[in-house]
This record gives sequence, C-alpha cells and structure tokens, in this order.
Amino acid sequence: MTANDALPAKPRREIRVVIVDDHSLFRQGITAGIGAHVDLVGEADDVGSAIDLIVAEAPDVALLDVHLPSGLGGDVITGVAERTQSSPTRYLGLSVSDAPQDVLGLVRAGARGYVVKRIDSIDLVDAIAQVAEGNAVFSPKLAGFVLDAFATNPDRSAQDSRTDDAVEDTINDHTSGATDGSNSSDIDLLTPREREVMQHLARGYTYKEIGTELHISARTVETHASAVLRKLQLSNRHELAHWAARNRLL
Amino acid sequence: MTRIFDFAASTGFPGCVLATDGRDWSHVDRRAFNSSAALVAFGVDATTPVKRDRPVGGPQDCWRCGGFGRSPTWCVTVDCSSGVRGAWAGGRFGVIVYGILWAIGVDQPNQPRRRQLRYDLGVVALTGAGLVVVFVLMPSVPAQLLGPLGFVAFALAFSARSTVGADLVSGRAFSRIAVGLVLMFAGLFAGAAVLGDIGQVWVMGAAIAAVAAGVGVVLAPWLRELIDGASTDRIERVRAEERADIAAHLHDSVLQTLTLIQNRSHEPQIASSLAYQQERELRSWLYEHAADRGADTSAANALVRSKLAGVSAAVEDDYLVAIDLVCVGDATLSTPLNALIGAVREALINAAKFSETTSISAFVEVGAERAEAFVRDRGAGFDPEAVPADRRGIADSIIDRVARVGGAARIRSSPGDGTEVHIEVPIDS
Repeated sequence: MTANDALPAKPRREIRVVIVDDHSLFRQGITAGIGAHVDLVGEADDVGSAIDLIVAEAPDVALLDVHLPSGLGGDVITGVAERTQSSPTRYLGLSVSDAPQDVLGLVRAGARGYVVKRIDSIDLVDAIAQVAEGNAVFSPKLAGFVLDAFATNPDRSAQDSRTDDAVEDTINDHTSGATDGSNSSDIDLLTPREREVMQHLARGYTYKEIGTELHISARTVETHASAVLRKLQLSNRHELAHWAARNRLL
Repeated sequence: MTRIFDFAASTGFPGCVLATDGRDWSHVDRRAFNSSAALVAFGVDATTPVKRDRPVGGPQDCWRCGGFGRSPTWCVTVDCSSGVRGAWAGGRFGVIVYGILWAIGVDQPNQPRRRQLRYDLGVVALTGAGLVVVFVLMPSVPAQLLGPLGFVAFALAFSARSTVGADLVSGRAFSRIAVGLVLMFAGLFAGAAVLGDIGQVWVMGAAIAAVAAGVGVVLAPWLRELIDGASTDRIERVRAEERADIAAHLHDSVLQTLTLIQNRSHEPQIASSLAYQQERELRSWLYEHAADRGADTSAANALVRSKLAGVSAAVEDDYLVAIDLVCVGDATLSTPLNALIGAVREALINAAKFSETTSISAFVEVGAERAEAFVRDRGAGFDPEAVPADRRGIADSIIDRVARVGGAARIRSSPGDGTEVHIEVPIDS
C-alpha cells in the first residue's frame, strides 16, 4: 500500500505517534523504520496502558495492533472515547492479520485505515501522514473486502454513474457534507465512482495514480475513499451484515 | 475423572465407573478399573497399587488385545478370545459379570450407539430375569404386581441410561432422570393400587418421597462435586489437547522455518521467501482452520478464490516475489474462469521474471456476467510495440488463451513505469 504522496501533508517531523503493539520486537522494528520521520511519543503493549498513554499524550496518530493481550485494538478506541470527549488522535490499524473480522472490526470501531505489518517503512510513513490529515487509508485487501461487502446491483450502478460524475468536481473539502444529508439507503451502497476508486485501490494504485487514471484530482479520490470508510463504519446494509456473519464478524 | 476413579477404586465397584463416565475409555486408568472389576468378578486381590495415566497397552494389560485384564486369562474384551475363556474360568458368576460388562460395552470405547443399544438389551434381559427370580423365590408375591414392578424397573433403567454414555452435566441427563423418577413413582402407585387400599397408596407414596428426599439431601453435595469435577476435568483435557495440537504444529512449521532462515540469513532472498511461505502457511492454518468451523464455506463456493490463492502461492515460491492478491466475488470454475486463472498465472510469472521488482499486485473480480483480473507491477516495464513478433509468450499464453473463451487481454506498459495486464472474460451461465 502506497499512500498518496500528492496531498499536502504537515511536515512529518511534527506528527506525534504512539505505537500500541504487544510485540516488543515489532515495536523496535517500527521505531527503527519510521523514527526518523515522525515524532514517536510512546509505546504501549496492552489495552489499559494504551488508553492511558493516548489520553495523556494526545498523539496525532496511534498505530494500533488488532489483537492485544487484554482485548482488541477496537477496545482502545472506544476506551479513549469514553475517557475524553475531544481526543485529537486518529487510528491506523496495523496487524499481521488480513482476516476480515480483524480488519472490519477495527475500522468499525473508528480506525481511519488499515495496513498490514508487511508494509515497508516509507509506505507506512505515508499512511501515517494520510491518517494524520484525517484521510482514509485502504490497503488493497481492505478495498477488496469493501467491494465484496458492498457488491452492488449493476442496474443501479448504470443509472447512477452520470450524476455521480457531475457532482464530483463540486466536492472539494471535507467528507462530512457529502453523505450527511443523504438518506439511509445511500449509506448502504457504493456510488459507481466509489467503486472505481476501490477497484483501483485493490489493484495497488495510489490516490495520485487513481486521480490520473480517472481524470480527477487526488483530493477528490481521497474524498471518495473517506466516504467509503464512513459507509463501512455506519452501514447496516443487508449484504454487509450477511457478509460479516459469513465471515463471523458480528 | 480422577475423582471418579478414586471413588471407583475405593469402592472396587466397576459399575460406578461405568455409570459416571461411559464415554471415553482410553482415558480411564485401566488398572484401577481392572483391580476393581477383578474384585467383583473373579475375586482377585484388588489391593494392587493404582498408578494413573499409564499408557494404554502396557505390560499389565492383556497382551493379546491390549484390553482390560492383567493377562488374557482375565481379559474382558469381547473380541479377545482369551477374554471369553477367562470368563469361563471365572465360573458362572464370571460369565454373568462378563455378560453385563459386554452389554454396557466396556470394551468398545468409541461406539456410544452400540453401547447404548446393548445397554437397552441388557436392561430388558436383566429386568425379565429379575422378575422371574422374584416370582420364583417368593411365590407369595401376588402375580398382579408383575406389571407394575416391571414398569418400575424400566423407569429406573430409563433414568439410569441417561448417565451411561451421556454428558453427565447436560440438562438432558437431568430431565431424563426426572422423567424416570416420575415414571417410577407412577409404577409404585399402580402397584399399591393393585394390592388394594388406595388410601395406603398415599401413605406409601409419602414415605417413599420422604426417603428419596432424604437420600437426595445426603447425596447432593457429593454428586455435585462429582459432576463439577467431571466437567472441569473434561475442559482441562480439551484445553490440554488443543495446546498440544498448537505446539505440535508450531514445532513442525514455524520453528523449523526459523531454523532454516537462521541458516540462510546470508541469502536474503531465500530467507525472505521462506518467511513468506511460512507466513502463508501459518495464516491459512490459523484462519482457514477457523473458517472451517463456520458456515457457508461450501467447497463449490470457494473455487476461483482458492485456486487463485494456490496459483499465486506457487509463483511466490518459484520466483521469490511477494504477491498482493485481492479477490472479490467467487464462482465455481468453468472454462472461461480457468482461462482467466491461467492467464493471470502467466502474467504473474512474467512480472516476477522481468519486472525487476519483488512486489506484484493482483486483483481479480468475479461478477455475474464477467470476470476481470489486473496484474500490476511497479517495475522496469517495457514497450509492448517493441516486442519481437517471434516472442510468442504474451500473445499465446495470455491474449490468445482468453480470446478463445471470448475474453480479451490488454497490456499497458512503458519503460520505467511498470506494467499492468488487464484480463477480462465473459461468464456464460
């Protein structure tokens, strides 16, 4: 997964990061790989200490392992939300596991993205910068899960494709405006454009490459990705529920 | 289990062992059983020290069949001819005990059904025999009692059966016991009614209920402990087995691979390939293992995906590359899909051989009417126009292959900018 390098990012030195992972060897590896590019402010190895650390340090980004000795990565997110109302921290899932229940569980708990531990340091730093900006980070696998879970009715896609392109250029800022006003069924479907973006992410494209490919700006690509992330977090779509049940998620 | 054993061994009564756990005899300490069984059946000294957790088939077991018995003479295993002789040697009493042991299926640890059937047959036979004995020995007993007494006997057998070969702690066992007790009381009432005064029936019923309640109060704590112990032991056993299973797997796979990687650490490509292989193997063991237990993983459902996973794994192993494979949708294999998979394989191999990178992305989406695949690398790339016409690899193995099933393949590449192969086939339904 290579994140989009074209988006304006804060100078990387400023991004304050904590690592939550129970394997000290892995924490050392991450520290060695990204320590020069971000400001590592702490490490934690279980749910309780991670919540304390994040509440105390209020880092920009927390790298969160899916499985911790005393719970799940998602428990950290909900735990922090219970302790403080306005945590600035954004979460990036980081795990060896590609299992759907792990990926979806963490994203539905509020993580802004998910990458596998295999990711190389440069890509990880990019992903951290993306998440710090509030953007969504999709690994190809996660994009694949989304496509699987939101497999759309082809008739409906054909109808929608024109209108979707028309509104596209008007979307330029935050994701919230894009989907808030829509009715609940919209949250259960991907627009054709979102599907295209997900397909390209699954093919291993970066946001920038997708933008070039689809003749839209990288920022617009990111907007679509964030919209999909929201749908993934909020949707109770029948297929998602079914898919999740099939994969033993819910 | 051990608790049950202590009890069985201390009473020297094999029936207790049978009644409390008829399920898995491989875990029963045979000598403990043997000494108690022998005490009852053959009058052999039962004070032999009891050693637990001895492996099955030790020198103290029947050397013909590995079954119960300190020697073939005393072996009670039904399929062991010496056992039958042993029973004869034990005299008529020995034959009867042997018959009972056979009926409850002591010798067939893993056949609960057969054991239950035998148990039922045994109960019928024993009840009949018992009634005959009663009426022969005590002619004064009125013949009308035959029916009610038989009924009571069956009621008892019915409730007792629930504890043979069944999970003691299950609610079902308890409900069966309750039903059996109700039936038994009904039988007693019927018997009393047959004898005459219905008023006496109530007095007798009350007396029986009081005695039963008293016995229940006395026995409840012990019974409770017995049941708790049995379930705790069972849980511990399952856990221990699972731990052993995991340990064995890790030892055979991960530890071996780690050793290999240490030995090959000066050859980073091989070490990394080993790590990938091991990762894949462990992942499938962890997650597909778990998925097997879930629903909706019918074989017909997983064909394209699993075949692609196999193809991709083989290319990873052969060419020491990492393939990021993403599959969406699934279908049973068909001619077009096989062509697609074959073309994907060729594209992966080309990327692995010529791209000069070790990382390849593959995305396959199977829809209702068509299936698409993208194989992409960020490597050297090439000019598709400049490929000499006599180099037939791409044309034959990718483009023509999918064209034959009505599909199409496009190759997009330029020097320095990687390569993407797009393959598309229609799915005829």
